[in-house]
Amino acid sequence: MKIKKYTGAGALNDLLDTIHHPGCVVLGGGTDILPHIKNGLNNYDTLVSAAQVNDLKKIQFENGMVQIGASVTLQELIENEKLFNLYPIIRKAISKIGAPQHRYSGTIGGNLCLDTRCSYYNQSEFWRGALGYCLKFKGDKCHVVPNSDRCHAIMSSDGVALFVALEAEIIIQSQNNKRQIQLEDLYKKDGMNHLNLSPNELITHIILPSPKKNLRSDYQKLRVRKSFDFPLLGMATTLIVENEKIDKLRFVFTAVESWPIVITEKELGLLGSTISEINVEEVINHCKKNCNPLNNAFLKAGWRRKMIAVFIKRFFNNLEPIKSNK
Amino acid sequence: MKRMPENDKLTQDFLSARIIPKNQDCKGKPDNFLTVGKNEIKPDAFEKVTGNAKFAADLKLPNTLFARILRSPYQHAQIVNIDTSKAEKLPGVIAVITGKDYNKNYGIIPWTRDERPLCPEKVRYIGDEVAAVAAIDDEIAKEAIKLIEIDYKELPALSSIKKAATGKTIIHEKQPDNITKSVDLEFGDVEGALSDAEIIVDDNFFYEASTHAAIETHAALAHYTYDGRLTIWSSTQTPHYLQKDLARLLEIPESQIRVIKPHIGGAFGGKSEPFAFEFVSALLSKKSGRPVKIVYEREESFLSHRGRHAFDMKLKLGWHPKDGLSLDYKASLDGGAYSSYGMITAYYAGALNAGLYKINNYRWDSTRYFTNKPPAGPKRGHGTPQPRFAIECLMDRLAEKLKKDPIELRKELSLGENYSTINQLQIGSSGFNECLDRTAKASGWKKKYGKLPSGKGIGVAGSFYISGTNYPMNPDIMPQSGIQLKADRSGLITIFSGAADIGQGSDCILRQIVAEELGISVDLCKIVANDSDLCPVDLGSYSSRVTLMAGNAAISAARHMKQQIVSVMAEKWGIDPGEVTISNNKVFSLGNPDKGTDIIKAIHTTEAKLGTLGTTGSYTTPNRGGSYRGALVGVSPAYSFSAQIIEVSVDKDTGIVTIDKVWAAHDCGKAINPALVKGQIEGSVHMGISEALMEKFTFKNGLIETPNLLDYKIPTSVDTPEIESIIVEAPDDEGPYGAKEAGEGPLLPTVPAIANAIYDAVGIRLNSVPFTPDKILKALEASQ
Repeated sequence: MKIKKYTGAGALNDLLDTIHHPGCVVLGGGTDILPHIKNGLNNYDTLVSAAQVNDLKKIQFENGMVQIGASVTLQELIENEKLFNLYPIIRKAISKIGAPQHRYSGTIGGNLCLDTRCSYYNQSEFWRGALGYCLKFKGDKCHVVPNSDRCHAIMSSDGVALFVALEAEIIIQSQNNKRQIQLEDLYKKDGMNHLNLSPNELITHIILPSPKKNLRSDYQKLRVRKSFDFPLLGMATTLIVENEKIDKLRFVFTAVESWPIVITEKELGLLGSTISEINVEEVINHCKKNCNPLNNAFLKAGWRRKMIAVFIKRFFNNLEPIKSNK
Repeated sequence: MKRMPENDKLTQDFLSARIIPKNQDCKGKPDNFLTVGKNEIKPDAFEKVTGNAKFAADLKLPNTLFARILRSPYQHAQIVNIDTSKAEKLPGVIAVITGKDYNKNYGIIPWTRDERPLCPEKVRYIGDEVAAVAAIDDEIAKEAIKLIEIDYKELPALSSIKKAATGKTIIHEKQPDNITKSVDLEFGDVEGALSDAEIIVDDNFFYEASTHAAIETHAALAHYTYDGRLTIWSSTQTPHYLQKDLARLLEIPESQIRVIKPHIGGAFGGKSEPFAFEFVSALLSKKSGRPVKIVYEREESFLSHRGRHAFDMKLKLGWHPKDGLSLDYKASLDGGAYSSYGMITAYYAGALNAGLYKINNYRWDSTRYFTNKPPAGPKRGHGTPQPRFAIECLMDRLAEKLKKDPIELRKELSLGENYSTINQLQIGSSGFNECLDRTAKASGWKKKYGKLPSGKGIGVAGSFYISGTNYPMNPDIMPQSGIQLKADRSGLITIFSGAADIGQGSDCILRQIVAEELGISVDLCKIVANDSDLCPVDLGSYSSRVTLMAGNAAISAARHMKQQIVSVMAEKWGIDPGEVTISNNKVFSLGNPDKGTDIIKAIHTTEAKLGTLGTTGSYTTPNRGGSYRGALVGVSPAYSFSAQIIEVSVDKDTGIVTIDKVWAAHDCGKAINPALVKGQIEGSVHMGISEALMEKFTFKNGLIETPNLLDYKIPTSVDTPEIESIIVEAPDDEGPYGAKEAGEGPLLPTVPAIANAIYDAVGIRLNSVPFTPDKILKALEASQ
């Protein structure tokens, strides 16, 4: 659809008022939405920029908790020293998103709402028209799984895996409502319509809990190039060991399915186990059972699936001992 | 050898002293050059880094219309009917054209013209051009092409060489076997030699198709005016061929067509023939009487393509202690829907394989097939990186069987200087062994080869390449390159050149050559290039020909001018012209340097005596080449040589290869501007790494899978390793100051050197380019 209007909002209320109207979409940095418009993958006619809404541009620290405004850029997350001291993993993971230009303009709100991607969907109007439109936009057939009744486009955000692993919550607002949910609950098992978000709703903030003592975390990203590329597989991991017993172990996979896949210590039967009791092969098997990538990204699905084992092994091999319990 | 009019004293001087210019100050020592060999700044550098350089897409004229092309969504189909009425009625649409508006085919090779700018009856690949619209703005043009209604009757499509060979459907009626060109040649007795060989190494190889991916997409602005003249600004490597083909197809005399090449944002072979966008913008301008601009989307540049052909190859290399090497080589080329340069590609697929090493028996069988895909054509190295990959991999295996160091084996078997290959290529100078020695030394080869820890490896490969081709696409009796000089009363020398600077810096080289010959600073030389109304013809920037050919023409023009100035000043001073020279902007007597005068006054004196001061120079290739049919492909005035050593790390868990460092030595004869030579080496290596590890020009239902620069992988700056460029200078008698090419040859060793390094690292032989991690992991698993 042709864009008729581009507007900015100065205050959060203005922004919520504007998006209340149908055909409107909020623009963070535009690194996802603008290529979509160019490819004719939009059904909105008004763009409203959230870049100047001051309420959404702050990183605030209170009682050990962190509140990140949705318009904070990825680069600002990387550069924030206080955030780095609390959660060093954020800098490591966010630095792997896109290329520098994307990180300077892209926002964390936009990153968490990144549209799912597919080699049959992220194409030009001409390309999709020549093949026959797909389920996700304009068509009635999934080219990845031809008999499927749902879309298999891939969750491709690195930030989602990271913040789901950190058990972030998000604040969602509309003109008349405000709700706070677990980030994990934002995502639906449907590549076509993957967000539990009404058109008039907006993610305003990301809330991180006070970091737990002994939290160890990691993010690994599989890609062809060391910059620019979306993940072919992403794995965020958090581990908390208390008195030598596993209190928390969370694997969050991105770029596998249309949603982030979360595997916890409970599913793995490792709550209360010691690190030395972990059977890595069993962890791998369990994760692989839940992760079945398809051939709709660069390089073969079989190879991407094999890399799950490599990532899990590397996580455990690189585990640094806890220096002190204090 | 014939390059300039006979009985011309300057010509004789030129022929007798081509390596060292007849510049008295040089005193026979090349290192006494004034500007040759120095890193002079490119004349367009400041414009480009400040964003002021104008590319075709930046150009605007009053009342410009915008054009869009409607493309076929079918791989292979008959056009039953085209209805443009709705598009024509859309407000803002000024002109609509279809295939019926052209009467002739185009094609860069005169014998295989099989394309129309817009298809009249049949489409042959997804993206084939069918109709075009000019409108008052781009949005309306985009809208209008959607309103054109076309009835297609779909035909069976040929998506692979294998399918094309079955001949179940025919892509071009005139070629019922779906073959553009088949070459089958034998030199010596290959079967006999291979049966006698002590060692044979053989295998099947595959090299994936790839595209040029120049950052600037194709673009043109065409303006047909009331006086019947057409001016076109186009992103082209071959302005002269564009002028000729526009004249033929639009039925306008060549004299009424002006082709201007603005700045070019990379080309790599992808802009080296006329394209639909040029014919379409020109015809729409002729129809509308208004300027028409067209700028391809990135996807359209992928579709227009003419990139690297995918090659299926089968090679057998035999070695005998007395009889040396014998090679049996067969290749099938996936040509796509049209011929483009394909006839020549089928020859290049074999023409340069019997060089570099002494190959005493050689059989070559190459066939280019038509398939329903975007047409392939020339990309940096044109038809030779594919077989060079296979040959250099086999050389590595041969060395292993002989238990010899691969570098030592290559040196032993290299063909040396002044050598005629079995397929009759005459090699002049060669710095190949020096390239091998210097990369070996720089990389610490002896300490590393076979000795690095598992997962780390080092590999070597070599190559050679043409410096232009002796026989152009449109053979005629005229020179391949011309230069015209004008001396202004201000002292400025204007160089008029038709040579296409596509970013490689050929304008800079010509300026340095003219300055060197005239003994003046480069600031006094200005270049006016690529305007067919103003500049003499040069055939274009392809086959790495410009430095050698336009460079020799520039030497010739400058020497004529110098002779005039020197003669007049000598007469004025009453001394012999041989006593007078020019250096550092000063004309003076060798016997009495203090009696000199500055160049401006000397130009005034010369103009007063002889009239307006201007000279010309041109270059015609020497008469060379073999006696058999096809012998003229691969024949060049001079050949460059390259060797590369590459160190890699292979992650055995993921299959991901990291290039740790590249040592790239290139014999360019004489580096007229070393910084530009190094730029070409680095660019070539980068492109080689890209093809080796990432690039996949592959298809899904006839559609290019990744027609954008996010999904089509090319290494970013952080993926590009340190490249140590080593310039080797083995001057060739044919080159200006001995110079040979540098723009394409250094790409050729990169891919096989990486393959050989991977073998050294993890013991797997890879036959299929690109070496993506999934393939490597599979090979590693199979080897265990």
